[in-house]
Amino acid sequence: MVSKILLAGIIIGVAGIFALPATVAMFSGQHMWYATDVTSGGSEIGVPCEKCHPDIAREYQDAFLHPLYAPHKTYPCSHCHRISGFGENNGTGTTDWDGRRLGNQTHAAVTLQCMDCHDLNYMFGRPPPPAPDHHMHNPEYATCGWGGPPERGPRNCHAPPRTGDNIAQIRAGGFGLTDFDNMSTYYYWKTWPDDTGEEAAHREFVLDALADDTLKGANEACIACHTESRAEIEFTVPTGMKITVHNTYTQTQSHWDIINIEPIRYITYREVKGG
Amino acid sequence: MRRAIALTLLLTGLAPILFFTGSDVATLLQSQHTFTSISDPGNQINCTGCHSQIESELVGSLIHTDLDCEDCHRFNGTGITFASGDGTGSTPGNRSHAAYTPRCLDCHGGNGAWITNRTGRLVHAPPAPAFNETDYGSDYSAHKPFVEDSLNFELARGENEACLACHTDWSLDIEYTYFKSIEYTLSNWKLTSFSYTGEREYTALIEKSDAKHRFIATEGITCVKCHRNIYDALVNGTMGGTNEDYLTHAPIEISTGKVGHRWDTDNPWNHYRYHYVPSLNRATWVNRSYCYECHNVKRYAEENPGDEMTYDLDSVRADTNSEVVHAAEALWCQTCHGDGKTKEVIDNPDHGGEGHSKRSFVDDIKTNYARTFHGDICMGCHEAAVHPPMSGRCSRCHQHGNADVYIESEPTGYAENTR
Repeated sequence: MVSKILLAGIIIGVAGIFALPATVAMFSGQHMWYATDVTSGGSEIGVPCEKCHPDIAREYQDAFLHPLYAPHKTYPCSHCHRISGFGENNGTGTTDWDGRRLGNQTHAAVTLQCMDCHDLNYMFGRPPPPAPDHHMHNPEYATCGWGGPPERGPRNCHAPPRTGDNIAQIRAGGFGLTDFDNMSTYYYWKTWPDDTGEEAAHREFVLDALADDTLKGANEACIACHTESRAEIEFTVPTGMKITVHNTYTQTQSHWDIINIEPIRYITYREVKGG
Repeated sequence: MRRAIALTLLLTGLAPILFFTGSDVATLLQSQHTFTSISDPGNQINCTGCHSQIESELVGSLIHTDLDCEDCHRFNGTGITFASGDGTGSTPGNRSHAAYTPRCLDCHGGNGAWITNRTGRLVHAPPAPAFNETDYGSDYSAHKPFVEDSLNFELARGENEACLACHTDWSLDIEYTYFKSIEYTLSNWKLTSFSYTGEREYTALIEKSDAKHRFIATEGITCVKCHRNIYDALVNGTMGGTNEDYLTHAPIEISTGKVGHRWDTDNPWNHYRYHYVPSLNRATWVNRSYCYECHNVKRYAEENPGDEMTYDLDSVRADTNSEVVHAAEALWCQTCHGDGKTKEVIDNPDHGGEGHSKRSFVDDIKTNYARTFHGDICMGCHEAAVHPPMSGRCSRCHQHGNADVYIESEPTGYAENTR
């Protein structure tokens, strides 16, 4: 009996050596490469961002169904996360022997500031880059639909219903962030000379967001108001004031002066928005 | 043991599966890619999403409940351009982006403002009397220094501290400092000496609901909350033993002394007393309307049309400056009782002598002494408690005009009138 089992084992072992040479790859599909060759007709966003970011893709799908959440819903990921010409990513980077960009400050995508597109400075006050480097001339940017078909993104950089050179229509001002001293003369005619922000109720929010590292730039402030992202806000506010009133007098003249006004009776309360 | 082995094998099997298949990464903030549309003109961002507390305050307000956030905080009458839209006709915002902190006078200055309220109706924000004018109007407004001085502080925009103090439910802690007492000598109807001494600190704590966005209508403002020292002086004062309590700020008019006349109810003008409040009525009569009797005769007359004839309020009103003040007039006794005024002082006809109606006695006091002392100079004689019953020396004051007076400021009002 033992000898029969031993014989069967040897036969199976020998057959296995010759008949089953294949090994199992660690990751299924890891040798199926996405095309990234734009110049030869490949997709610039051949790497599907949605594969790793399905939650964001889902948000976009939901936004399509909800008119209130329409902004940006037609944009491919690259429209925001592979912007070029702003100095943040590879738009002006070194090219390899075949003209392909290697990436310098970033490889696949950039975490952007909302104000990269929405600020009033046009390139943050820097002079506009020469034509080859301006994002509208950058082939990577073509997929945002600069003259491309609608199914590959909005026809114009800055989305319908805007047309033509329309960046002025998406500018966010009123925070006093315009760098007038370094404003490009080329774009000066389009600037918004009264962007002082001196009356903006949320200016401190924006300035403090700029100083905070949680998100890039002032994105904390932008996202808090302009998206459905949950925001828990703890307000500590005075609920009254102490007024010090002094009567100044001589025998013949008197008048009342307010010597001091200061906040009192602070309370803290929490607001929860969205989410 | 077997269960532990089975569990270990199960987890060992699941871990690689999760490792190889779970490649999703979570975005830092959920929903941060769900952007709110701002395509329409105006504001589409829900302010109360972050400011629900303010919304709840406004719901409990007596006025402004018909307004939405944008009516005040995106008011279009200041020249500010707010961010709006993202297509043709959109604006980035210049001095502000989403909202600004308004000055109350943005709407209530000038001729007021027309605002489309939350129901779509056009409503008028009325101008704040006097304060709507250049330089906040006349100097007769008692609270004008408060408004002007508020500009020096950063707690609120512009002069809003002054507005908030009276017109909202914000709590207040007001610390007053003023003189404690004066002394003077009256000789033959002339002040031959005068001095002021000491400093009094008085704190009025006004605890309201603490809600800055709970606005109080003008009719709901209670003067004596902030001016508690005046209320205390009028209602409580200082115990006067068997005589009247020492109650400054409520002068009695000297009666004719004729048979059938009561010193505490009538006067030489032949009408019921205007200022003096009998002890039984003090707690209820001393209110905003009582303050208006002197400090805003215009409003008092409007609110008490039945008193017009009795007190000749039309003429009294013309003597005052109540037409050009905001809430209250900073006045002197002389305003109504000076030479040539409708209620110019009258001497007691029973006692002869020139009395204080001659030689512009009241006008001279206004000219030569600070307004802050003026009332108490008069109260040195006109405070009920300084009139000792059956003293038998009527002529000292009433005829000869001789008195040594010591009187304390509110709230005590204690006074001595001797010679």
